[in-house]
Amino acid sequence: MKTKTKTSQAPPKPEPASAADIEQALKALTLEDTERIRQYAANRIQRIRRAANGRSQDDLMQEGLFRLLDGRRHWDKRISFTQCFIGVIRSIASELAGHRERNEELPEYAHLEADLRKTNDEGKDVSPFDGLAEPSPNAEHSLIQAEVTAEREAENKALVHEIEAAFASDDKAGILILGFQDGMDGPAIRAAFEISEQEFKTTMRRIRYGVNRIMEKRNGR
Amino acid sequence: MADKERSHTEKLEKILDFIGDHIRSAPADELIEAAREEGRDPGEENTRLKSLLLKKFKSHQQKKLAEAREGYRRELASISEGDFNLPDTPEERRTLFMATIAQANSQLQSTFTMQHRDLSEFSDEDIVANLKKFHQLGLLPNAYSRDRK
Repeated sequence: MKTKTKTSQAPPKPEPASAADIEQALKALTLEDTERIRQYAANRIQRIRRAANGRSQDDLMQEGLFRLLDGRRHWDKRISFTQCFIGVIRSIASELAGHRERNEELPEYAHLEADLRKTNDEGKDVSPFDGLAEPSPNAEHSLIQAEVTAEREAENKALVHEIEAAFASDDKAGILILGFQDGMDGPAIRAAFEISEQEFKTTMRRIRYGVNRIMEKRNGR
Repeated sequence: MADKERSHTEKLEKILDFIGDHIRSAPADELIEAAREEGRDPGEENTRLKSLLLKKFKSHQQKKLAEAREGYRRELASISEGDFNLPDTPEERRTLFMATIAQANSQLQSTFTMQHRDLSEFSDEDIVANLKKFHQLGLLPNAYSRDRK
């Protein structure tokens, strides 16, 4: 007969990392870590494009660090600092994209570009999202929103066509790109089109490089 | 395969999201190679990025420290400029603090020493905060309570 030796208990909540833990983690970042963070931040800037409003990947990283230090986001030390930091960067980029979408025509938004590092009266860094007005939907707002959406859609259509054209003679890359657009994940694409793991990896490298060049060229960098 | 209803904006977002997810889990050598393909030196980038983030970390910590100091200075000023006089030096404040406890009634003494085992470890900030409380309780000697002069 089996006997229970341990009672099932929920695992204790981890203590959030201290500022000293964060400092140590920053000092310990390897080449791989900094490349992963930098390349991910650059990818998010490309993803949100105009919503970045002049921000660079460095700005995203700095904002991510401030959020961790201010306690607006926590690092659960059961996961690596790099993965946590990437998660924070992702969430900031999503906020920026969402905010831009809701506030496209508001004057407050236009001010952000010249006011990237906001400070309060006491000189303390504050979030660039603080103090921005909530959207107030009305007919004029809806009209402007529709125009902006159409303009963005036209720009993005051109970019998608440019990406597709860049890989027109690369069958594997073309298949992967169509799969991405369709929301398929890597294993699903590989299974559906019988692409080996190695082929997938090498094709991903070509796609990353090609897409990166197109996006950087379009963003004027 | 493609959903005809999907906009080009969504298509582009999906391509970039896929690449982003790939970066999160890509092997180290691929990341390093990608950096070199972009004409960057990963070693230099590592040094630059760590230096940038550590600089921001330090400035953030210094701001927090400056805020705490300012709060303490304001509290000290409000006490000194308020309705009682606080000794000028930390040593004099500690002497006043210990003398006040010694003169207080036995119940307060025992309560205080039960809560704070080692009074010698009190910082000047702790002492100032407690002197303020003593003043509010009317426990400070008359010489220090301006309203009792």
